[in-house]
Amino acid sequence: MSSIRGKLRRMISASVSRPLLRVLGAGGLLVFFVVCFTPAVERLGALLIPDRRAEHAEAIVVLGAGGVAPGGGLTDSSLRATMEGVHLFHEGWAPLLVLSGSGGQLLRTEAETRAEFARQSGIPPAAIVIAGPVHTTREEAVKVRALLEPRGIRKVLLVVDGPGVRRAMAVFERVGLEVVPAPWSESVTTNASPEERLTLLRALAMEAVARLYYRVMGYV
Amino acid sequence: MSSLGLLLLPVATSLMALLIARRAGPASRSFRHAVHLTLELAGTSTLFLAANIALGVGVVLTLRAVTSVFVSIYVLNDLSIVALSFLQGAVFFCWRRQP
Repeated sequence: MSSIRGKLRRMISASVSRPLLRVLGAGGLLVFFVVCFTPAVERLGALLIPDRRAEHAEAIVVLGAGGVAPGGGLTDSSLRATMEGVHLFHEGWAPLLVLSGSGGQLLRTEAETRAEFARQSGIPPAAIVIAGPVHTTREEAVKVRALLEPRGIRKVLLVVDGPGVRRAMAVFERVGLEVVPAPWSESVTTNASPEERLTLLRALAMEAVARLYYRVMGYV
Repeated sequence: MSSLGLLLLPVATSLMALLIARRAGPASRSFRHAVHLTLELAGTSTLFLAANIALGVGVVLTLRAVTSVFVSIYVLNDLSIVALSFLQGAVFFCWRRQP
């Protein structure tokens, strides 16, 4: 009896799972080759660029991007976003620079480290607002609104690193702010290497998970 | 070197390996059989990758909901999870596959 059951189980697993595994494997390998060797993922990333063009606003808001490195300095992505915010301020896109970021185990938070960098880059301390420590885009939106509302500020220029611009804009709009994307968000990667395309695919996959979570939680 | 040029490298070394293998004697299994096994191995690894990510997302969200500790979902954004899933898939596939 047990040998018949074992044979039956083997037959089922051989006839059902093997063809399914082959289809899944073929699908996985196809995705790998299409992503690495065609510009498909770059085009997919371009779809996430916001429709709205950059405009002058009342404040530039730089969202957290990678936190503080173990040595105490900003991570590459955080520094890039901060530099973009500083650049926009110097170009006169808005008279106020809001720097956000996560906390952590270190002496200074990401937002404080960014503020120090902004001061050293010639931005007056009175024009810098620190929003932190915060962990998620939703927390950032709530915190930034709480900081800007007493100043009567409604329109912000959002600086976001990575493909999360549309979600971030939706979250900030949900808490009552008018949001325009930074011109930086309109840039598209072209002619990327296979490794860069795989990195972009990972970022897009993470963004898809985040978007699903935000929809389920009712944040967007 | 363009990305397609990069693809030529494994094609060239595969052809060289094929020539060397043919000189060594006839293959014990058909090429079609090898393709099937490769696809099944890739499928097993893909399943493990999906399961690992789903479990990771579940654990992170549960920790956020149950404790006051904040764990970023971005901890899952690491290439090593792909390599580990492939390893899992390879071991599981070799262990369970029919002779």
